Amino acid sequence: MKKALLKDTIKEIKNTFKRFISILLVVLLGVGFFAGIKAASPDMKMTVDQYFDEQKVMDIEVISTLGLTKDDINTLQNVEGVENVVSSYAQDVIVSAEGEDSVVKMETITNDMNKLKLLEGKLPNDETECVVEKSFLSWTGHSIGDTIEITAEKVKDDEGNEKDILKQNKIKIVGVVQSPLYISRERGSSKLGAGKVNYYMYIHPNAITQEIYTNLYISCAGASEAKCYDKKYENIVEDVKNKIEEISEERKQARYNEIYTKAEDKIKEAQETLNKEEKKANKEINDAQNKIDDAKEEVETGKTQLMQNRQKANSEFESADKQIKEAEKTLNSQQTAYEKTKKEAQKQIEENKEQLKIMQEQGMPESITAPLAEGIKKAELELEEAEAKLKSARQQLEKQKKELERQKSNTYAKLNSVEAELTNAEKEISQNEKNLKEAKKEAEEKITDAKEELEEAKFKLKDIKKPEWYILDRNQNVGYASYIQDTDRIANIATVFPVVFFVVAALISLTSMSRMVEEERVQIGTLKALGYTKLQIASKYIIYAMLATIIGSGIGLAIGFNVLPKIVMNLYGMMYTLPEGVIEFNTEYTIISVTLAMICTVGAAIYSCAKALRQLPATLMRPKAPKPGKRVFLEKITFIWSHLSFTRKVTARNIFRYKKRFLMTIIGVMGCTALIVAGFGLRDSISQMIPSQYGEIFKYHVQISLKDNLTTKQIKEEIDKISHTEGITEKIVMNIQAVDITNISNTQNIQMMIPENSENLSQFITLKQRGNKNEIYTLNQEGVIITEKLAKLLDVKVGDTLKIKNSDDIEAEVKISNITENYLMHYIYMTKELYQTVYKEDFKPNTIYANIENKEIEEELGHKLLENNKQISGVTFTSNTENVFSEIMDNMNLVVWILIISAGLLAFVVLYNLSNTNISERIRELATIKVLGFYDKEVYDYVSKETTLLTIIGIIIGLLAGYFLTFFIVNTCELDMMMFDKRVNFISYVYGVIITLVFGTIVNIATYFALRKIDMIESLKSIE
Amino acid sequence: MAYIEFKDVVKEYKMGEVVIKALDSTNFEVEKGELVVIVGPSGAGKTTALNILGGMDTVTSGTVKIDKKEISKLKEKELIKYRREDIGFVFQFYNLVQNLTAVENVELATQICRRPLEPKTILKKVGLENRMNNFPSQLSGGEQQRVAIARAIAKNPKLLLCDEPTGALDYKTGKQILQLLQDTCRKEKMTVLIITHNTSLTPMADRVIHFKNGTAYDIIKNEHPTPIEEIEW
Repeated sequence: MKKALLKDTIKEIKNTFKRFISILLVVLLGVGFFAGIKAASPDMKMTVDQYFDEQKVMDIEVISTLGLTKDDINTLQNVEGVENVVSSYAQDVIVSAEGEDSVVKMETITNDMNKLKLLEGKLPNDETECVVEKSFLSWTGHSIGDTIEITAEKVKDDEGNEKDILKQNKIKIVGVVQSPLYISRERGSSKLGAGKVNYYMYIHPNAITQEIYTNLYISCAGASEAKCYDKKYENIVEDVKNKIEEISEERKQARYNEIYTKAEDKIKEAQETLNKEEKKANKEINDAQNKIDDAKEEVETGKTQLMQNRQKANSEFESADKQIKEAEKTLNSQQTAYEKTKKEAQKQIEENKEQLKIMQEQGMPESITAPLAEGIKKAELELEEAEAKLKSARQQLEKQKKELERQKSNTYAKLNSVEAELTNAEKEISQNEKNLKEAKKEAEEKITDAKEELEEAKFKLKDIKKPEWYILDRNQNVGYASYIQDTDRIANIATVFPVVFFVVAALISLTSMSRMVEEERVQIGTLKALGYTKLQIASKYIIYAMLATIIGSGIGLAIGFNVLPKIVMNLYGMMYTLPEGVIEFNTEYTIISVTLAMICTVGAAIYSCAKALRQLPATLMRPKAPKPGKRVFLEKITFIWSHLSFTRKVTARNIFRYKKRFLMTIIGVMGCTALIVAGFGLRDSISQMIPSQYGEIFKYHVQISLKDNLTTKQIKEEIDKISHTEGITEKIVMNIQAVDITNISNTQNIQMMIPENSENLSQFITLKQRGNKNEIYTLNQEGVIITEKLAKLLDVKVGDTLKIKNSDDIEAEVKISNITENYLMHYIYMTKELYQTVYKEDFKPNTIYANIENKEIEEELGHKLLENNKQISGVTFTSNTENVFSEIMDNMNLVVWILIISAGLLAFVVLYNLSNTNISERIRELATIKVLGFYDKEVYDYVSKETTLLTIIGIIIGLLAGYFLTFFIVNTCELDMMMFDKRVNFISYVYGVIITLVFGTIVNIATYFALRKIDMIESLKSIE
Repeated sequence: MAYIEFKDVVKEYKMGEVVIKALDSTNFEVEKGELVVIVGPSGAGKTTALNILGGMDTVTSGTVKIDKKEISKLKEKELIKYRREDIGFVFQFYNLVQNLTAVENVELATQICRRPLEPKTILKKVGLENRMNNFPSQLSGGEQQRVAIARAIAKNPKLLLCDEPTGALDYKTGKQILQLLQDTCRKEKMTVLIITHNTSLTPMADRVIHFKNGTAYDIIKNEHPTPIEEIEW
């Protein structure tokens, strides 16, 4: 290039600085936006890659349904490509804080893998210490140094014995950490509590009593060098995964054998013990029976003897009685005889005595009387003797009688005591017999039970399945997967957004460059006549365009690469826990964006020059014939046309005369309005989501969750108690469980909602079609109602069937009866009866939705519920949940501002350029009408009517485009767990119009002053 | 008092450090209804004088009076009003609005002034009754200049200023245009000032002002102007 030409180029820039700046600005915007937003996605990915490398996040995770052993570790260590294998034990536990239960994922700290970032305090040294995540402290009110109580479900060891998993369940919090495994707010699902893990915590490996592990983390050789979102990384990991898959069969079999053998051995042992015990019990029972039998016999003989003795005694006493009676009889007869004799004898004696007396009186001699007297004496003596004899005989008899009585009572007493003894013995025996019977029954029962158990164990043994190995990689990490998804989403937006800017850039460059070339026709002609080559002449314009592009690109890239990814990352930083974003100069996007910009600007320069350079120098040096005026179709409608003022007629004709400008303005303004409408529309869609979800759809005021493992009776009592709590007006009893749908590609958090009484559900949750206010869906036996986004993700419609795996891992097929409006999370609604039918399980309530009298009592009621009802695990008020989500949503407003500001810049550049071109192109005409005596205002109207009209057309099309752009952005931004309430409020359109008009007005004011400055002398100059 | 008074007018342009004197104490007078031809070489200051007379430029010092109105003292807005109501301007390159038809170009001027003449009548007068609805690009140069003159006189101005009206036209057409201007002056009793570098046109004028080096060095009153058709050049 010749020196003079270079000088000319630089002067040209100086002289047409406005034009230069407008090209530069639009390039800056286009390049900055494209490169900046495009770079956000790789920068975000880079950030996570670096973070994962620093924290040595695992590449592969192996989980087994039967746990993993040291042997597994050793085997995996030897798999080719495996760098390191570390083990950990993880379990979901319940931590209570201030009466509220949280489900916490407890895991042992791993060395040199998934390294925790210590934010505060220290890492645990032994089983008495633990570390928690930050939100645990902020939500539960605990702080470092507090001791928390952990309720962990007991686990079965290999032998099948239930064991406490933790050595101690009271553990002190010693630090706050950040785990690289949880970069999103999502903590995964759990079978405990409400089905979701709330927090994570880490404990010392020593705290665990188990010897087997739940997780093995594996790092692959060379994986950390590769970028974790690259194909190369995927190949490395996939390779190792396949190799692990190969060896897994053997390990699974080994683990199966181990557990099977252990169980079998245990059964054998149990069988033996059982047999022994059975024998022993039997023997004992037999012995006891024998003893009883012996005793019985003894008693029987005793009884017989007793009877014999009694009989003998009886007969003996009888004969003795007889003898005595006979003796008595004899004695009595002797007595009688004696009495008779006595009487006779006494009579004799009396007679004799009388005789004697007589004799004595008579005086009979003594000799004669003596014998008689003697005889009387003798008789009396004899009588006395006989009486005495009799008396002694009677006495003897009496004595004998008494003796007999004594003997009798003695003997009978003895016999009776023997009898009593025997009766006692008999009683004892029957008691013993009874005891024995019971003991026997007991023993029998025990043995039956033991036998049954054994049978069961044997049955279960058959049931021991070969373990499944889940070989996972980072893509199965919910946080990582959704993060990568989000970055892709941003990349999507980045592809579409800058298109508007580039189209405008191309148009602006084209109009500017062709105007410039036109203005310099004569010069071009002169140069051509002087013998400069086409390229040399064109190079001025090419350099002009290139300089604008290079400077614009440079500034654009500097701003774009530094600012935009940071804004995007900050936005996402609110949803992900990641270190400060990595910002990188992205060569790829630099080349693409600068090339695109170059094509737009330099292309426009070349195109404009080529047109001029094709002509002969002479033609060029002659003034270019002005573009002929043309009648426009509007003129045919005379009625309208004749009513138009001149300026309007000129405007109408001009619009059709300068098609490039017409197009550029409309596209630029349209882009501006569309971006603003999209910005506000995005906000409308997001901000409406929360009030819709909590208020229109979820109408209940409070959710009360019950603890796990309650009995049906406890649940009933608790529900009764809760419903009688003051302040609660109505309630519905629900079973809510986390379920899985297997044919969904990425894991989603889906809750199944089963109301006890589906008729009442509508008081608490509205099931209806979106946009249809009147028709409310009711649950029925036919099928389930699923939420809209879930249906979209699954690509199903009403009438399709779904395979749903409930929280007990039972899979069942149900029909979709309706699809309901829903914005946050995924839900499946099902009647109690249908649930019982398809899952063959009982309905067990675990949640209560309730309405309360008014909002003021919320806090008090919450405390009261937790205090009075020990079976409640949590009370969540809808208003709280609403607040949490609202905060997250507020951050989205930033996006809206980015859109509005960029839209404004776009509008400004376009309109400014338009007005500049418009003035420079028509300077002669404008100077002429000034000479004609147009007031400033009239001159301004003459020009701006066109701009205004084009702006209005642009705005109208922009409103329409904004509507579609909103839907596009909303669809690409939307996270899987949510559905934006796609809508653009009327006021957003109004904002779109107003803001565009404001930018337009700023440009118009600038135009007004530019017009005032136009020198009328221009009208006298010859046409160039 | 003369209709137009140009008294001690100085006009300086600052081009960076350099001050260029375009007019240096220029004096001349013109009577109402005269046809005036201003002649002089390029850069003599005749256009500057015309611009000042047309209210398109201001003086650095001196006074300019037209019909007793001192335009050298007018503010910008008053100048516009002056241009709007008192001045008709005919350009060398016609300066028609390409997007307006002949009659519309005339109307463009008439719509802004207080007592305009009927555009169609004027166009008839300049001999364009059959070309009224044509766009400038469909008209020949002479025809375009006729439209421009029609536009200027339709405003019914006090002063018709013409800057090299025949400069872009061929001899014959130029002659016709000058005839038109002379007729306008005579018939409408309008004061007409024509700038030209062609001195052979001077006989047609009532008054000839010669410019040289930024000043009117010679003013000649022509008591018997020659009709245009008799002038040859």
